[in-house]
Amino acid sequence: MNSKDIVLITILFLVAFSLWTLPFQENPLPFGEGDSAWHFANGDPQFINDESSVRMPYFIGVWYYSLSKLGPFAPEYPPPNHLNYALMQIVGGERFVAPFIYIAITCFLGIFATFFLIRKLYGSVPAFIAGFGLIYSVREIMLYLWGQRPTMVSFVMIPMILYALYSYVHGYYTNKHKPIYLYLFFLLVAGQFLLHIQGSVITFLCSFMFMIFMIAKYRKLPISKSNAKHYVIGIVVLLVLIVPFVPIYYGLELGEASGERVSVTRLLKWSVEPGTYQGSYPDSYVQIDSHYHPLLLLLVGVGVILLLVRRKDTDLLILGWLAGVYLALHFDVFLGSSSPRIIRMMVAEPPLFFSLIGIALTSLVGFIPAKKQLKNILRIGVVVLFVVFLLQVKAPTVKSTLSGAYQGLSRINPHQFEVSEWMMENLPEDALLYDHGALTYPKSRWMLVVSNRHINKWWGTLRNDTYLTGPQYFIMDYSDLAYLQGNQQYAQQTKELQAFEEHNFGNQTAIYDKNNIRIYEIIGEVRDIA
Amino acid sequence: MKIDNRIVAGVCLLIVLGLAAHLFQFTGVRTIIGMLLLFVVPAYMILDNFDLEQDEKLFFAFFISISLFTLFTWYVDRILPSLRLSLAVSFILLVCGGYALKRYRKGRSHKQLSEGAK
Repeated sequence: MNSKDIVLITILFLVAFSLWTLPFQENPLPFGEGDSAWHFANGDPQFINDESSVRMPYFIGVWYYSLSKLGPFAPEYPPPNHLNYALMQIVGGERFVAPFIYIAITCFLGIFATFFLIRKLYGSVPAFIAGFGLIYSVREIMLYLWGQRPTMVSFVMIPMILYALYSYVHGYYTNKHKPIYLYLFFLLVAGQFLLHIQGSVITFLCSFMFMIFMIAKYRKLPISKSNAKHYVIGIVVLLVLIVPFVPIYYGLELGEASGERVSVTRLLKWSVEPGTYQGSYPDSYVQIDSHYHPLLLLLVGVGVILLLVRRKDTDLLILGWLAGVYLALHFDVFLGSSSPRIIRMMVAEPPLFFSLIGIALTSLVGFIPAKKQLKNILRIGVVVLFVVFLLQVKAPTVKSTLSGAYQGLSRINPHQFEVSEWMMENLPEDALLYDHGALTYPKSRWMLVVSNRHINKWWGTLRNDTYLTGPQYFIMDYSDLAYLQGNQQYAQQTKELQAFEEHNFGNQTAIYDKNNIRIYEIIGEVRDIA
Repeated sequence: MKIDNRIVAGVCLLIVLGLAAHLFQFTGVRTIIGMLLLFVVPAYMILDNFDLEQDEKLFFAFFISISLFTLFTWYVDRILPSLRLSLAVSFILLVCGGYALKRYRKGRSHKQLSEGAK
């Protein structure tokens, strides 16, 4: 790595860091959908209790009480992902901003993994193009904002794993055999599996396809008596690391994992069919033309053709990556996987596509009949053009998406934060609360996170599950509505809420009454007014 | 890594820390330094014993550590009574492990050289 690469990496980091942290630069309160609150809630108690967990605390365990076959309160993820939040809280000395810095960085790590892979295989210019493109990749940004962050962290490892595999296999075939790369491959695979199993699926397919291509090219297996022991040791290390945690994944009942096999004509399309994923992801996340300008898609095609024609070992790796992602995105044809499950794996596509774009752009410059010096200048010109193009086409939307994400009342407000901290200090650990009035479901869930107490949004009935052991409370939350009294609809909603409170808790004294939020202990029945 | 690269890397790191401080004050700086300390230093010390290029050691160290350093800490925490203590002990154990490995490999190569001379 020379000074130029260090500077390029720094530029990528500075741009990505200043952009991806926009959602919490002005407002340091946590954000995301219900999923993100669930993940955060699994890490936070480990920091608060100064103890890593082997079972879920009560307030999270009753969220998906019977999801795991391993029983209630069994962990639903191996330790690393959630424990990392706690480690960041420790080193950052703070409960929310520090882990959110970690979350932002690990979600955009794909930029650097891809930069590293492409730089090692093709040089700094295509690597920078690929990395810069990924800063503005809306698909990654959407998952980051919504909160499927463990999935993201698992996927960003794919280019690193592919590089380790390539280095070993290429070295083997060219008599520069270095077993360390094989061990690194197995360690990275283990690490990825422990972060999220879904990334491992893509890794397996890409690695498998690359190996097939290499074996076909060299007509020889990359294994012999001399290196078999390294494979055996590597696999043993892998198994030692992952086997204790395999039951966690095995135990989960994932209803959306299976669907019906779709027609083979789907093989001619890249994305899943529109209309097969309503309620899970918006079209703007799934459809390919929402993410790439037609010119960029053309470059992806040019990149693929160039690789197919050239077929060097480096090219075969990228083709293996492409084939692996293609297979994964067509699990609905081969295995009958449901569209929502496949769509999550679409986050594997942008690093691949931007790599192909980088390779295509720089290779096309290589075809120009000019002196080497002129070609170098042209390559720099291509980078500048690409950067300007992205800044014109993608940057404004991306910037407004990130800076506007969960701002205003769509994020937990300071009063809700304050009452949540009060709950943490004053209510028993097995308390169950109903929140009536907060504008959205994720806000109630983030109150659960801050309070470390289980909070449900009020859906009209009390829970009478036998596993609920603690006292129950009711939160009458007017703190959002107080900001919206100019709007007739919300003014009416406030009146209804007041009537509900009067009807159910008119004779009681609130145990908390501050900032338009009141908490009552539930003594008898609580009912909506007919 | 040549000395001028180290200077460039140092300046770049300072710029990154400056941005972190500008956006998130001391928390930002602590978090970035903490990530580098936990996710790069211990694994780098171990990988430094192998025939890898400088950038490979740095990148592999980070990507392996975001999962396996944490897993190691989790196992240590099964024994020790405090997560903070487990974190510190894990860090020290791995850094010392990397250093010990270096000493061992150095000793072995000296031994092989002297045996070869005989």
